[in-house]
Amino acid sequence: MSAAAIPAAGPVREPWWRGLGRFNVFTGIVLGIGGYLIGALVIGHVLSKGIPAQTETNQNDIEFVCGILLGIVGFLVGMGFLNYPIARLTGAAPTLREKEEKGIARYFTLCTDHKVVGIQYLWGVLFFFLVAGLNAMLIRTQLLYPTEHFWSADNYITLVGLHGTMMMMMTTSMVLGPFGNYFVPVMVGAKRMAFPRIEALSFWLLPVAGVVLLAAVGAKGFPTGWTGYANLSVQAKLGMDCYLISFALIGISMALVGFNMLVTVYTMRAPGMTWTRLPIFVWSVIATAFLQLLAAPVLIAGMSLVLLDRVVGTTFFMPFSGGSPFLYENLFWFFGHPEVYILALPGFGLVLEILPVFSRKPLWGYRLAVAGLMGVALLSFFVWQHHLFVSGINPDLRPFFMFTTELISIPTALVFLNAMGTLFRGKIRFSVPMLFALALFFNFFIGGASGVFLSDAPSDVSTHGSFFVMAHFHYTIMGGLVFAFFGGLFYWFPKMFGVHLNEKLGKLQFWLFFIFFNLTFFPLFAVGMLGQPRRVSAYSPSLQWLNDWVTAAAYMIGLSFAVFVVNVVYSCFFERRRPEANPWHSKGIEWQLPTPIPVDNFERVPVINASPYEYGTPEAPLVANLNPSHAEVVAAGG
Amino acid sequence: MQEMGFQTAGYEAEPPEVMARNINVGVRLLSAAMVSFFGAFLFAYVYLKERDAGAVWRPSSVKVPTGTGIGVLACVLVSALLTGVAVDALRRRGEGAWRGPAAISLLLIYAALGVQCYQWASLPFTPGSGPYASVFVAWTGFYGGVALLTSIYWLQTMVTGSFRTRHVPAGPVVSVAGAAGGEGAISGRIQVEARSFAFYWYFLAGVQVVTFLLLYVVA
Repeated sequence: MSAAAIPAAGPVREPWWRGLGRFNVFTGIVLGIGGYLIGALVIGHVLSKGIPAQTETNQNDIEFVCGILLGIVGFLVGMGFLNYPIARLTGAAPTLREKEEKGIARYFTLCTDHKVVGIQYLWGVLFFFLVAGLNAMLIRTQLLYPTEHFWSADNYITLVGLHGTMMMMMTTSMVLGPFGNYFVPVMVGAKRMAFPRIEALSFWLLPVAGVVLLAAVGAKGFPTGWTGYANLSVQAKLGMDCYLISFALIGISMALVGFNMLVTVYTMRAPGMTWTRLPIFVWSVIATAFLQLLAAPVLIAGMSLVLLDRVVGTTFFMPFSGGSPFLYENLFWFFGHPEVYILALPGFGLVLEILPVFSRKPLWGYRLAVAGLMGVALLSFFVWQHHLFVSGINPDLRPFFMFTTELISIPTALVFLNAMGTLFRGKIRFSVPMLFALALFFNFFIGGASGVFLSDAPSDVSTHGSFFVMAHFHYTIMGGLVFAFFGGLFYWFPKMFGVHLNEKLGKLQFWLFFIFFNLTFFPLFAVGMLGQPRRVSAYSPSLQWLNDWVTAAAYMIGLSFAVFVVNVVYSCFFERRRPEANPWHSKGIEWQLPTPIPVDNFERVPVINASPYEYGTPEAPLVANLNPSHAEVVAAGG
Repeated sequence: MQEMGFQTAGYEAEPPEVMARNINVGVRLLSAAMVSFFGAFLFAYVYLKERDAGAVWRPSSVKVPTGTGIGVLACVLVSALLTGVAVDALRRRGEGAWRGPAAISLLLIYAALGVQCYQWASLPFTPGSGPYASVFVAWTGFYGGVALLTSIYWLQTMVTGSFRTRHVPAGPVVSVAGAAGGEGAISGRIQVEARSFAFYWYFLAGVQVVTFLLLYVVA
């Protein structure tokens, strides 16, 4: 039979279940469970033998911690994170790619395509945001009545802790995770991130940390709220170990993200992408990455020390043995205050990216904006003690930290100035991304102004630990970051998924969210001023009507998120409106690329010709030359 | 800034200029993160020692294990010195001259880890014997577990790779700044990594010196 007579064989499709054995989430979970069992039942059991404090109580921290740590290692091994290091150790040549293929399977494995990691982050962050949001609903439900409650005080404080920790952990990645990973390499003209496997690892630590934190519920919870203060944390039940390990994991993830972003922006910019042509969003990522790189290691160390006190029996935080709880407070807030700006800065950068597009004007005061972002980042390391005004700080230090805290409002105000200057006489389009961007400034102004009362020691004494503080930081973090996140999501969704989200549903979500966000949190300033403390579910009956108002408004915020879910489902699966190539008429380099963006982003490394904010200048060149000649590359310094 | 990408030496390689910059910048940022990390231990040391209200910082029963401490320090410092010698040899005489001192340097890091493990096993106090004991255990523990292990992995990978490819004929010359001509892409990569590793290892040796001064001398 001639060869021509044989019909050409198509690609043989192997059964789907064979893929399960190839280093993905499934193998990760299997090895993770195996690791937990070996860690807890074998290694932990052996190590804790002969330690009465562990074996003769109903709480063996050594077994539990060994189980969790080995479970994490097992998961990462199952995901394939050790394959490359071992291969390199045994002489394999270096490679940069892993599983950069098509299909949905790449989202459930170690993939080195930064766009895949960005989308992994997006769904991961949204999932944990949903879980933590549901916790918030449960908290508000508990507060419907001043004395009759749905849950015990122990369970209530665990709920509060879970909500706070999960939000603070996950929202650090809310902008940087999805949009930073997806768009920063594209915006600087690079084909990928500097260290793609580290990028993948930084994402996969996030769900691991989330699951470990949720496991605290099954381990009798933790009583400390999101701050985990010692020495209550040293004495708490097993659930505290979950808090400590998960927060340390997030710290590692944060430090890795910061590291990778900085290297990528510094070394992989395309020819012609000078520092003054960098999109302002990238500058905000730089400022945030510095904070992550330098602050997160202190968090990791702090969590480790508490874990050592609990497991090994060190005495860092036990006063009767020479330790000090204030040591923890300092370590925690040295990370904790920069953390606030880790949350805020990418949001600022994102809205400053959006404003010029929808007002058709160049970004006003570009250098001022950069100075503002970097100024906030720098000053944020010098304000942490204002969290300790009423908990043991040397009184002589109060004026200095009052001063530095109020000083930080100056660079923050520069960002506001940039926004107002950009909007002034602009041709403003009130599309959904623009609405979210504008709302950020309204909300953050209230958050910032209320912060002045907390930065002044005299007024802080009466408001500290009350719902006033709670309202303040929700105005800055939720009113700032979460609004920026949704603005960015509506803005970039067409580029990421090739689908335009429904505008009417988007506006409905925005107005519901904006109105009821303010109706929820503004009354809480009054609740706090009237003396209701945080983290306590019993309160004065005279405050019930205010609390009930807040709870009803909070449920409506939940409804606004439900509208978002409906919008995504409707737009992606029913309406399927394909967007034009550049639906917002943006000058950003990412909009010059096809949708979906190819694996390598650019066929050739581009040459950058102009700033991305040349709106209103008809003769302005395209930002990037995607097919440059050799001479053009050389001329641009390549 | 990024150069035009190309493939070299049969594997999907980083454009060498970009790779060199990535590793160089990366190792400096990694060191900065380490400063923050060990800075937390330094803060704990100073804070607890200075506010030693109950005079329990280091009870008289807690003896400082100076002998093994000197052992770890000596191994680390000699290893760092040899790393410098190896990088110099690489620059002057190529990859072949780098292997010997680099391998000995690696063995010394293994030795440092071994001495450190022996010290933990024979420690004359428990972690709960006061704040000094707590800081000692945590600081040396993370130095051994993070600093020494990451250094061992990195140098081991380079040394193993270099020995494996010692008979590979020279490939195309890669334009890495300062690369030894004629040894090709692999040598170029070693060149870049060796210098970056040396920076990292000098930095960690500096941390070890500070560790020794605080935990063993000042105590």
